[in-house]
Amino acid sequence: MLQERLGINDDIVFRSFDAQIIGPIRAFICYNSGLVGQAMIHEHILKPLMEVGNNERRAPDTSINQLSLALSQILNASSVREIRTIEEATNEILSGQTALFLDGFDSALSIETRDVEHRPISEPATEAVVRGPREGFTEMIELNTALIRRKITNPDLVFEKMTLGSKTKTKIRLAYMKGIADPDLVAEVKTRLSRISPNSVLESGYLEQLIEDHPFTIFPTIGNSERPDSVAMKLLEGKVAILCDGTPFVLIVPHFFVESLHVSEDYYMRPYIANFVILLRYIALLLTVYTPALYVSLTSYHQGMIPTILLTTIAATEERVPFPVILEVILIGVAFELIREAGIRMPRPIGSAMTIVGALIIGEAAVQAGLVSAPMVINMAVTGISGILIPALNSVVLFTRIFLLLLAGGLGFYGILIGSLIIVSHICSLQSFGYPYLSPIAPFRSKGWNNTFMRIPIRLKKKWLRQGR
Amino acid sequence: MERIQTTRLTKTQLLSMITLYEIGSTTLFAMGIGAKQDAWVVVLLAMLVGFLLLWVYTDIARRMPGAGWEEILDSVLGKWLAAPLIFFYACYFFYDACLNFFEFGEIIHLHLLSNTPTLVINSVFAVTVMYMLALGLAVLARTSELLMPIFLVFLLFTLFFAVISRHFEVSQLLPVLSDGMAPVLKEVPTTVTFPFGETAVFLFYWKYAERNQIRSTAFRSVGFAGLLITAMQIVIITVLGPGLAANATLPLMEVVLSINIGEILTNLDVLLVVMIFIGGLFKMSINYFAVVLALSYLFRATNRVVIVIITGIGILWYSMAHLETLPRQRWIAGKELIWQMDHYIYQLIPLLVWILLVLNKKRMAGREAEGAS
Amino acid sequence: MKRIGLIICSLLILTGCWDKRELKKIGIVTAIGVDKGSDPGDLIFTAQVMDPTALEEGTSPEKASVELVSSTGKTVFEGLRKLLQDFDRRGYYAHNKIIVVSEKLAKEGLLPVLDMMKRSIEVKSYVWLCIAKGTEARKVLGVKQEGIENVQANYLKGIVENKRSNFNSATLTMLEFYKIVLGSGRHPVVTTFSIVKKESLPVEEKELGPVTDHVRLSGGTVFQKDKLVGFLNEVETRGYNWTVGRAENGIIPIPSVIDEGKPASIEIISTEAKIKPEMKARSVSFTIEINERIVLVEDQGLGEIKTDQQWFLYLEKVEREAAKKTEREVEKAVRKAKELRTDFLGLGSALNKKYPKTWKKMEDQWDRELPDLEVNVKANVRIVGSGELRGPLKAK
Repeated sequence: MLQERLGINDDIVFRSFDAQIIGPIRAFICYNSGLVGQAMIHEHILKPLMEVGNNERRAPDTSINQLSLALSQILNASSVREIRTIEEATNEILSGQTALFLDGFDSALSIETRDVEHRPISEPATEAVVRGPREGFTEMIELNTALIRRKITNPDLVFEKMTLGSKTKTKIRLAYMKGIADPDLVAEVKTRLSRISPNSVLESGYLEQLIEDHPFTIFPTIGNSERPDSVAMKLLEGKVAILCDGTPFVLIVPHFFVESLHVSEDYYMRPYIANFVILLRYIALLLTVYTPALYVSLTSYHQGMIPTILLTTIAATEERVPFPVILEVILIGVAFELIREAGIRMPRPIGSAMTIVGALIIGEAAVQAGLVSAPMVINMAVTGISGILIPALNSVVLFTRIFLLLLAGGLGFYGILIGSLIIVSHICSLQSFGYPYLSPIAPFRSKGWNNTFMRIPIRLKKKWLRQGR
Repeated sequence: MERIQTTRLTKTQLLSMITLYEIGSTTLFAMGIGAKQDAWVVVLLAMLVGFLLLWVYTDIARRMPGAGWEEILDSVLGKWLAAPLIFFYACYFFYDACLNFFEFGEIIHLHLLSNTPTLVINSVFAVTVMYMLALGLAVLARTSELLMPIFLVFLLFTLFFAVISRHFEVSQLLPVLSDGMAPVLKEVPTTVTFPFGETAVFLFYWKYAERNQIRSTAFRSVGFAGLLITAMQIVIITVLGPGLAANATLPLMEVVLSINIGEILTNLDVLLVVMIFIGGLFKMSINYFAVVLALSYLFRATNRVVIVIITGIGILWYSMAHLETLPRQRWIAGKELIWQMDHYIYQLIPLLVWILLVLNKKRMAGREAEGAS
Repeated sequence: MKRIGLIICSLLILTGCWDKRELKKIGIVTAIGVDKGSDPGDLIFTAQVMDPTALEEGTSPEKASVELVSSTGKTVFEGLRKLLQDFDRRGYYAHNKIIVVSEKLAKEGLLPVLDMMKRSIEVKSYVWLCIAKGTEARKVLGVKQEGIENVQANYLKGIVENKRSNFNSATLTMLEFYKIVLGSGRHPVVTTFSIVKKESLPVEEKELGPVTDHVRLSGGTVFQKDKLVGFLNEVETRGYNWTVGRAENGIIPIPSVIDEGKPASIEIISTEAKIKPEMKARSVSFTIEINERIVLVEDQGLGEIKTDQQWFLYLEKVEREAAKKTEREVEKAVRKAKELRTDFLGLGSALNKKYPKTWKKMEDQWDRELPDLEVNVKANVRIVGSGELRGPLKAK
């Protein structure tokens, strides 16, 4: 029967033999050749079972029905479990266990023999640090849990198991610190996960989109990380992490807006420079969102607000450009996004060359040809570079920038104010798993400030485990 | 991390809402300029009177915790008297919101976008405010909390720059009280009604705040706002002189435009426009939301979004169709007797209700004492 | 909801942007001049418009950086709009630095002329208000600049602002003018430009010939309320600047105290002026008290100072000379005020600040009574140093 379900698969191996338990019993094992360690099967299953005389001595009195008990004394694998249905057996085999069937018994055994080839632990590509651990999550969920567990050696750290995806049967682990995480939050996460029934879960992004509070907002209300240290840090703050097999990206809930502006390295550096860098990121956020809109509104609506000498310079360069300023911004903005996307998708060595070509040569040539003005190129460069400082808010920044730019083009400074107000009230209305998205700022809590605008020296917050909540 | 109930106002939120509401549209006027260089004395005196009113308003909240103004009116005056009163309150704040809205639109029209039709300016603003309020009280509160620091920083910067600019002359404040107290006292009542007496609107909001925080927060924020308004008047007078201050349509704009520090810090009208925007926004939104609260109580409406949208369209329509031009509006708002009386009535009814409450309590206490003996 | 926002935006973009002013479509006005027209009641409005293409790198230095455009109208605004008939760009006045009004027009009153500028949001209050003395405003704006600045208005503004270290002339912004005119007890003194002939040296290579017109900032123009009544010469202007505390950083030339007949100069570090009104039985008297801190910067006299005591006495003499000089200058200004019957020193406003009741009574006939007032001048000078030298040197 099992053969019927799995037999057409080339990677499933059936092997039958005579097991020597009390007497020879006809038995066969079934496993997936790609997911198991062959040596392990040989060492832990075949060898103990097939060696004649080895087993009589150990279990002479055991009743024949107590299969698992008997075998648990014989098999020296790390984990053995009894399975009763074919369905269960199929799942176990497909996930890398070995199933052992003995003649005359109505249940089988699932034996831990998994040994999957996986990518070695390497430095995460998305969140590079100068100072801090160099390890990142891999695609193996077991390894990922181990990485977190190694950071927090505490029985309070709980991993709860779930399986999602009716087709893919992806393993999901819910991680949280018992006693620190809000039980309501954990319950909420569980209900949300159990309510969804996706066909497939290939990456944590699938889950993210299914369980987030506001599916239509451009703001990310669920965080993700590739770094065990930052996940551990968030767990200690009382958050819940969702690990998903097959991806190094771990989801963290609830996620606040300000967290997008932080990196774990902020806590490893000395506070002076850390605070400076945090401040820099806030400035970068404002710059990258507002620069194009402000430039448009200043140069085509409120020229009075530009200092005279600067205005003279801008006017002199603008004089040769045939387009209105707003069109100019849109043109060069599109060009910038094209170059950026090309730089990401290109093979690495070409990618960097591409960026240089794009930025230097095209920009320079466009100015020379009188298609765009030089201040405009500077303006776009400031926008682009500032945007790179805050990769977590990539999409947010892009859309708010365009939104504000269009409003500024139509209504000048008033448009920027209106746009900002819409964005602000939108962020204020967001929630992440019942927590206000803008949390330590609005609603305001002075306690949360050490994670928002400042990084207080660690020494000063002795009880930071508790305070961080 | 803590889960926060979205229907409660935290202390900071209440603080920022009251402060923004109080300063609100005062950035558009020279308050009490009828008293010339003593305008700041007027503001201070008005603030003291405002404190008295505020004490009454907060005392009502203390006596009837957890009840909104509409419920208080209902329970004190009875259903038949309360319903029209609540409706009139809604009208009053509706008119107030319309005025704020109108002034705001006109200012933007005159100073930023003189060729853009007012309809566009106003409807863009109305839609934005409707969006914000449709998201609920929590969003209004959080937005105010988020924007108040920006408002304050801009205001303080403006005042600071004005003080260090070459046009700042303290001697313009002299002589103090040259004509005695008479002109000052004459100006006080109007300054009490606007902006200090307008805190009456928060009668609708007290029920969302923590009971024991109301009074201290309210006094702190009104005091803070009052001092800032006073500082604003002092700066306006010292920079412009009483003569020009009384004659400028937007005195603070004149002040800001006169700032020129080293050719770099100049043309700071952006700062003022941002302040007018934030101040006008919250002044209007808080009035607007009070209307929504009153109406939804009156009509037992469960879907607040509908009321928000209807009221918003109402405000837009009313201010476009019935309010004409800025000078006319200033004249009516300042001089017309009915409008003045309106102010007094709406701000003094709480006083009446409070007296009833006190009497009620006395009577209850008396009855209890009788019963005991 | 976001979609609604986007729809509004796109509507805005599509329906057009009413207030958009592309930089390529505006002419940045750097200076405004107003003259009296040939017909009675006419005004000639002149705008100096910057030409940004002339300032671009690589353009020939021959190209003028500004254009002057004039037009005639009954009101300033009419003139301003008529400008568009013979000029291709719409004027943009937010970067205007200076307003020049001709003497003739100023005699009829400045407030009507300035009204439009004060109403306008574009013209800022801090622009310098100037009077073209003995010439037309247009001519002042038309003089080829001599300094480094390549925009003529910036050059004019430059000389006005140089006044900080040379208080021979009065300067006033439009806001200050309004403040004084609308206040009581003081009349304004306005910046004054006149045109002088000056010889160019060959190195300057001016094509205009050896003798060219130049703008000079000198003295001040006295207004009775908003009407021009007279001019101050340089000494009187110094006296005025002393009294209103505007002698910020100027120099005082004095005779050398060590070597008779030779000049010396001292520089002012700070001054402070107070007008103290005093009530007497029937009349009011004033004391103008000036406190100054100075430093000796130059003494052309020859002499020798040997001891510290000599040094001290030497400086004390300088102090006395400076005080005498200051007092004389202020007295000249007072005499001029009495002569013009115009209280431009602010005696009235000082009285108002101290004795508002008395002022109320006297306010109406103040300017008539001015000549009979007793005004004392007192200068307190403190010398704080004599530079790197103790005293003058003498060749042996």
